[in-house]
Amino acid sequence: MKQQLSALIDGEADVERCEHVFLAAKSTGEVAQAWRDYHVIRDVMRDECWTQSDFTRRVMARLEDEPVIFAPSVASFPQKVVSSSPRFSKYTWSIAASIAAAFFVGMFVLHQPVAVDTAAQIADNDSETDQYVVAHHNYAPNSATYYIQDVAFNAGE
Amino acid sequence: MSLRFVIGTLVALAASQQVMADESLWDTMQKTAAAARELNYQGLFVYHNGAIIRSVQITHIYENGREFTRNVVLDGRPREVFSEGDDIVIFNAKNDKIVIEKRRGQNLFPAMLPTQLSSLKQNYTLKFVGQARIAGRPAQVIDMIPNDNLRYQYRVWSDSEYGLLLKMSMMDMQGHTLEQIGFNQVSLLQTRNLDWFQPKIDASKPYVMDDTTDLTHVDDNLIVPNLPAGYKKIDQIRLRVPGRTAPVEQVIFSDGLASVSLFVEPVIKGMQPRVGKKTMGSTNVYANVLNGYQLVVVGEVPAQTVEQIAQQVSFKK
Repeated sequence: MKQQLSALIDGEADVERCEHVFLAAKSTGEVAQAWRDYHVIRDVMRDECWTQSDFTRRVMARLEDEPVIFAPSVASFPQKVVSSSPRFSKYTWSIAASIAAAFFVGMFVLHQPVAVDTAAQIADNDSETDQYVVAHHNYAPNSATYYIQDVAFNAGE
Repeated sequence: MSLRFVIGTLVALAASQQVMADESLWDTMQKTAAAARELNYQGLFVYHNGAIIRSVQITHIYENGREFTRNVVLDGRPREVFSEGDDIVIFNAKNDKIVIEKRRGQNLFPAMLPTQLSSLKQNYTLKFVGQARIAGRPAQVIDMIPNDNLRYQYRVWSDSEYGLLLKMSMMDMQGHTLEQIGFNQVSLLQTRNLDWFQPKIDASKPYVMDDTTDLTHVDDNLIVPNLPAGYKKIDQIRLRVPGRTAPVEQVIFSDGLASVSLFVEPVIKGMQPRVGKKTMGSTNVYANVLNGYQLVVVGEVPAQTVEQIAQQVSFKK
């Protein structure tokens, strides 16, 4: 059953069998155990994720060192590489948002230690800022907005 | 005889109002904090924030010192939130797949009040408002009035009999309701059966784990020396953001009820740093740049509070 559960979480199991897995967990009183399994599995996956992103980072560092011959900006490289991993493509920190943010002009000051103009307003449609709000609602406690973060801030995804 | 009884009742009522002094109000809050965790109940609650309204079906069981909760969001995209104690797993329908996300330790309705009230006692004063009826249940209404302007005001409706939090709202300084969450219907459960503690499976969709967060505690050279009164750092986590070469640090502060996140990441080539502020309903955002780092502070607190935190950030040498 545990193998089936982990396969399910890995997206490898036939989802037709999910019901069976959860029913099995219930009928054998293994709910709590199954729950802990999620976390163990999750921890393992996290490690893999770390390795993966570290690898990506090193590749990207090498790419950055390569001379850029054509017009596309260096910043566009990470987008291409990361988007090849479908696991991340729909997450809240979407690539689209990063690109959209790159087009943002106006009150942003590049590479300057700034004295904050307290009157400055961040634009309403600044999707990058919204990502921070989503992350806040995801991970900070006492957030009722947590029930709706997905719909409220990623409706257009 | 009946007149004497009526008078006696009125006197007793007046006395009971008197006795509702500070300490007993805090006792009610303590009972409210505990009831949400220790009672077995099922119900339907609604969350309002500006134009957003979401209905959520909740089932909660307390068994052998462990809490099991399932929240099913009934409006908008399907979303099921399971928690056992501090561990939270979310089944989140996103387009063509179900994303399984993991969270930890959030005070979800109706367990919104922390069990340790000491920090709230320092920052809020209680005021008994009266009686009301919510979801068919009699409730005591208590206001939590902040002692300064660094946090919002809350109103709490606590079940007069069981102490369960029936409703809670957050108001700004002018008394406008910013956010409200409360039961439409609630009933206590006799059963200890956990057969409801499983997600509704959509056989036509793949299930994938969301892997973008490292929830381990981290510590670095980031310091915020003078936090706004009553706020404490409660956690620091690291987010691995696709498309970013460096992780984003998230430091979480709380005064026991309101919470604020500080995000810190290096400003790298191709990234547009942002500076300024923004208000989104009850949420305030303040962005700044310090020593080549992008700082963003976000919280369900007044604008002044996020600004004050952002301006206090510094890096140890």
